Amino acid sequence: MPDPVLILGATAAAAIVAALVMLAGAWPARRDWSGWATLAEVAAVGGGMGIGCWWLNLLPKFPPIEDQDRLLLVLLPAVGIVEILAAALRRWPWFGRVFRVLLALVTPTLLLLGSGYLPGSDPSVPSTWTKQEALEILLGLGVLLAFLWGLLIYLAQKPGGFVVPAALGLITAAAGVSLMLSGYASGGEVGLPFAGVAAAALLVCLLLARERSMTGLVGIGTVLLFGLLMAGRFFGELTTMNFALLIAAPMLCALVALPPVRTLKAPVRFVAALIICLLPAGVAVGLAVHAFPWEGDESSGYAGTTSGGDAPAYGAGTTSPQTSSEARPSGSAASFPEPPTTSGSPRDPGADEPASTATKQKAAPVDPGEELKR
Amino acid sequence: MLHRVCPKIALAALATLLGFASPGLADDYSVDAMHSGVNFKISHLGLSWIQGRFDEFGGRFTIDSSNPEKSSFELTINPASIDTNNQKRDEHLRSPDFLNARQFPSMSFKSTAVHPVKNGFEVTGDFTMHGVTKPMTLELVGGRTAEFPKGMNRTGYSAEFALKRADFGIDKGLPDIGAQVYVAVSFEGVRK
Repeated sequence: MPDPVLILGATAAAAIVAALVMLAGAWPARRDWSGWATLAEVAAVGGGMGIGCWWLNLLPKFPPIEDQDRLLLVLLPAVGIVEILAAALRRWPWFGRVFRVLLALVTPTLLLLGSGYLPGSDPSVPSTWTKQEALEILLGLGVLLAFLWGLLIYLAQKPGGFVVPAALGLITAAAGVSLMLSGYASGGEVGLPFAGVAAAALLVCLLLARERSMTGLVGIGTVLLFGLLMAGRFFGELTTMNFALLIAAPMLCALVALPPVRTLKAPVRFVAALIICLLPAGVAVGLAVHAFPWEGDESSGYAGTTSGGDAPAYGAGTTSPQTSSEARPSGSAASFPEPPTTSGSPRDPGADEPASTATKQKAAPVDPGEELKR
Repeated sequence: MLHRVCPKIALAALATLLGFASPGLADDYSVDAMHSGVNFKISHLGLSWIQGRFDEFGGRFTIDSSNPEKSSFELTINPASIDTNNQKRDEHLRSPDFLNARQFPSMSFKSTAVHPVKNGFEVTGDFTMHGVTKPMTLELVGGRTAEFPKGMNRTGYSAEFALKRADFGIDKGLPDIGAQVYVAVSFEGVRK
């Protein structure tokens, strides 16, 4: 598992940056011109996520060949633009709805672009889906996202809609943890700074005593959550059950509009709705912990932390640790020549003696400790 | 009469000489996965080598004895077939944190230039892994031939090289998990 201290630091840094941007944006938005306010929100999310990803060494790469790069570099900025324009042109609500639907429909395709799921991506290997299957699945996922996005924007604009960004922040964090437990550590980490951003944005709004719908944050958070879950489901080991639980969780914010909950006092209503939304997310995290218990797997030894766990299953017994200069891999050392350069000379299996160029190599294999000196 | 026969004899002799010097067309081979291997090792904490292999791969190559520069080599590897003898580690290696096998379902090497050297070839080509393509030069040693079973002509080559995984966008776990991956490929081809 990734370093929890690092993750907490990234989340805190994201929260601080988001809060500062929101406060800076509060002055131009003092007359509550929705366009300015949403711009400030989007900038807060962008700044917070940027600093959080930088902290975690997860900045997206260009060109965006991986799904996570496309999510962070293409999709989320596009969502931000759509939400800013929708807020600025709120006199024509159809504008926002149409562009949200269009962006939602292309999102699954963009995330799975070039993968082994889609036919035609890699001619050397058969795709997982046929053309018909790909069309049905991508369309279904697009409709699901469009529904979720539309629902959360609608609820965020209703009385008591403050619970929507709060729930989204916490559910995205839960999704991040589930992803990390599902073998996709870096993908899961991306979700956690958003929780900090959402918390900071809400606190700023409370401090300024402004109840706002925060559609910018809600829109970006919705697509971010969806993108993380798709990455976990299709590229990691996130189960379909966990995908369903986490995608359904924010939909429970609709309970805010129901009569029994609607009549409660605002703080009670907020907490009750939040708890109800977090229940399925908590179940998803619990299921992920159960399915993928952390066992100190040495393949996840990040940031200089030694696992200190069980000895490798293939190594019998333990020996005193040697210095790096003395360490030599045991067993078939003689069959591994010194690691060559890119034009190295391998040993000819048919030769009685090693190939002439191979005699230039040292007999002893390369000390793995030299890797740390590079 | 001799002056009519001699040119014909000379032509026949020349044709025979050319026939010996130029065995004919290039030989096409398909990689015999059962007698080939793609193995690698990577440093773990500077203490030991984690060794692994890829169980699924295929390829083809062409050897042109008369014009070695026209030889070519192609190898495709399924990254999801990685095997380090630890199921959890293998699942993690297939995940987006490392190979992202579902996003990038194949790794491949395709030669672009071949030069004969002592004991084999120096092959330059494009290696694609994790969606990134980089040029690479390998030294293939081998080239002996054998017939096994009867009627099935074979030849084989081996190569060893190191690649920097960060160059291909696989940079998680540094420096605890080594920056360089040392690869050893040994393959046999069956002539078509």
